[in-house]
Amino acid sequence: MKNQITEKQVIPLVKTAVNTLLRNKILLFPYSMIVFVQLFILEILYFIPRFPLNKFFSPIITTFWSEKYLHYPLNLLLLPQLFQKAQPPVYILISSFFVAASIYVISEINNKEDINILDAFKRVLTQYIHIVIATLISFLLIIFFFEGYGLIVKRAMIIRSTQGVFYWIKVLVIGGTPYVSLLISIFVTTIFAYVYPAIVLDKKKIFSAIGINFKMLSKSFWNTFFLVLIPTLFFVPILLLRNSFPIDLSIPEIRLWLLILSIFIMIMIDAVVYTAVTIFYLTKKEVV
Amino acid sequence: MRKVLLICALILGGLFLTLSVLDNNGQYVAERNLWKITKKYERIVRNPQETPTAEYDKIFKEFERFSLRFPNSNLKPLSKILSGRVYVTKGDYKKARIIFESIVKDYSKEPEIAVQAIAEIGQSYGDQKDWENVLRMYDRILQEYPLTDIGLQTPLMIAKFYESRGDLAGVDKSYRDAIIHYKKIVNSHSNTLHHYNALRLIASCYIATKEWFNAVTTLGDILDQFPDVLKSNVDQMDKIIKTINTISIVQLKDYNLPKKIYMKFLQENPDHPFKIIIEKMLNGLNLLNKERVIIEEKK
Repeated sequence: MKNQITEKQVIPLVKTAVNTLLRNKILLFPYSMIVFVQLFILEILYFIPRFPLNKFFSPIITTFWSEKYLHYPLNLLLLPQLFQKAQPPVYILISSFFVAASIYVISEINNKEDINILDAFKRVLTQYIHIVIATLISFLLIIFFFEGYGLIVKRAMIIRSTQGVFYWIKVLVIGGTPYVSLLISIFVTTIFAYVYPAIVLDKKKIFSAIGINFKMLSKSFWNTFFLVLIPTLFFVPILLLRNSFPIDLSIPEIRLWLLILSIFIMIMIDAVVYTAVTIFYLTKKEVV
Repeated sequence: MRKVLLICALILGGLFLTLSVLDNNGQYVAERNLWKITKKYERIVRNPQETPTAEYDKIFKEFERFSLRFPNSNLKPLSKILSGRVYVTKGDYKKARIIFESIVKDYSKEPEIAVQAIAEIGQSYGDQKDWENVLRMYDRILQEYPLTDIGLQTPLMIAKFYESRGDLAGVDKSYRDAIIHYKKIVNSHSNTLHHYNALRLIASCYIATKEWFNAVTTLGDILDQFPDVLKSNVDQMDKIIKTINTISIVQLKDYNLPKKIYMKFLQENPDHPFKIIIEKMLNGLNLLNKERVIIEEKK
């Protein structure tokens, strides 16, 4: 892996990341754990309207949404929302840990050392608090941008034009919400891309890791941005599918299958992004 | 590593299996099954002419199987009614009515279900343009299940039936009969929810026959006699107040009639949650009265 990548070669770097993942199955193990956690949560949420889980969850659903969402097929309309609500704690407390572990494994592969996944977990555990804080900061930043865009959407909603420029602005702003959300995620991932590698590989504390991150970003922002953007574009078909399904289908379960598919695609995207970013980080360090 | 992945897969599979088995014949599974059969039935309804006969029988059997698999589900009666509708769609009215009659018999102790089945029989006669039997079914509902939701609506449905046929004398007579019928319920079920519902329906009859004064006083009676029921029914309260105001101002040109109703209401219910709204209403009515505003109905 050493000396194969120059910082200008984004596409070859993504390819290298994919090859690294394919050649080193152990790298997929932390991501498999994230898939397991996500599927476990989805399974629980799917069975909420049914006995015995309904005994506990029915009052919650009835209070915060409506009793009708405890019945088929409307429960499948609520399922993606519930799953979305479960994401922040999973992302901050669990996914971040496994992503950090995968970053450590990449450096072990790079150093051609014997890889012990348990050692990787132990190493990451010592830096866990910094990883969680870093994830929390990036999560809060995402929320901040989402809220900002939410204000724009609210303003667009009150545009009354039915034709002309303002009408098209309204259509673009409202219809483009899922894509803007994706772009916000890409942007925030980019500006915090090197925080995990700095914490895990250089054993830096949170603020010092953020400092290193911005130092690296100042020299290679666009490379990093495209490193994150290119794999993430594979999520666009899922967004297109997700937004084009009405509930009144002959198979409402399609929403569930779409969620499962999106879990796998999102994890694959994360795996490629963080592998590419870590390789880039290691290469830059070697160059320095 | 493989061992851990295998354990994870087993946990997911085991959890799925356990939760599926625990609720194998539960309400959710019943809802899902019935929804899927109903979707097939809807496909037939959209294109009954081109549906082969065997398809009707197949869907009827699916509804029957549903009833057998979920004997205690509250969806069973709906499944039975839908199975009858399959034959209505097929045009086999005789068989459909046999099914509906069996529902009336099986659910004689559950009036809302039994009356729905009688209404389905009436509907099947309607599809055949057998008006005599349609009216016979209306009478049957009034005789056997007058206090069910459908039963309470039936006198108004009879009036609408005549209206749809352009029989104005029939319409007028049915509204008179409806008012008599509802007044009987008021007398026999004093201070119950049936009394409350009957008063609302009497008001509807007066509005339909343009007896504006009677309509307003009946709505005033509801406010007077059921302030507690209206405490928890914001929509109803809102509708009653708006109707009283509209009829009094636009039709009767009388500001004093609603004022009298509202003042009595406030006097008898000083702590009612609608107190502030009604006080504002009274101020508005006073102002309109003072300014001698006349509002005409849009032609």
